Amino acid sequence: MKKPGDPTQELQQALSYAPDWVNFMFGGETLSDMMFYNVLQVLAVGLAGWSLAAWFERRHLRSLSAREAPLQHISVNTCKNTAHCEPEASTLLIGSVVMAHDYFRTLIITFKSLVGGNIQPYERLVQRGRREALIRLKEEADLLGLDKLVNVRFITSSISGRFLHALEMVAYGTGVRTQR
Amino acid sequence: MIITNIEKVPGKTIIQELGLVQGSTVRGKHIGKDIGAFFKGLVGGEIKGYSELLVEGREEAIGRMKKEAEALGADAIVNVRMTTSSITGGAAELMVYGTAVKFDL
Repeated sequence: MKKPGDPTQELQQALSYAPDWVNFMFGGETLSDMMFYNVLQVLAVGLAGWSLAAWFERRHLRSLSAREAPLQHISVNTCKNTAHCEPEASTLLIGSVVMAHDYFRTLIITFKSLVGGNIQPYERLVQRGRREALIRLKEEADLLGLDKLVNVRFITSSISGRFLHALEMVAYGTGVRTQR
Repeated sequence: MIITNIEKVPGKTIIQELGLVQGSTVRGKHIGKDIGAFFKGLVGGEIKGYSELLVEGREEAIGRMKKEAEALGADAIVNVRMTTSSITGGAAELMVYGTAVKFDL
């Protein structure tokens, strides 16, 4: 029967079988060595994520413009006027989206918020999320054959997961059908 | 059951207000969704796991509100508002509230 050995020794033995790149990522002779390499790796992953995020953002903006165009016949307002609407067709509709920044941008924002002023990445994220929420609301209305949204409201709230903070953008309103 | 967030229902006459009805739910995500969200956080953008969770949660809250209104014998719920608040890491509270009303038949 195998005797349970020293756990640190066992860990070291297990690590010695690991491929080179794992040793490069998590290895290092001294503590300062490990910290230095890890900072480099964190930055590398963050920068790669950042450039991917920028590409995803542009793609998302293109898709938003493409989806907004066919939904233009649905009129949206924040008034409660339903003077020319058919009965029996009104219903509450909700469009929502949860969005988050990549970690590298979050880091930049953390430093930027020390200075204050406009925090442009957040402005862009919130505007993008709100457009997406409104499009989802309109799509739902379109699906039900409704062509007017009255009393549309927006809410933004911060959602904290276990690992990351995200923003939830919600648009809701009453969908009605106008008489023709 | 008709639900609107304006003070009336188009084409109907409200004869009686039955009072406040509400539905709320606190929903957490299982750890797998959170780990998925962690990796999605590397590139940012929409976090689909959380989006679905909140949509489901809101549906459940609306279902609870409807049940309360049905118990009062209401025909519709008007002037519905909704709120979301973050309770703790990994959970969100969704609340929906409105006024239950009765129509003129």
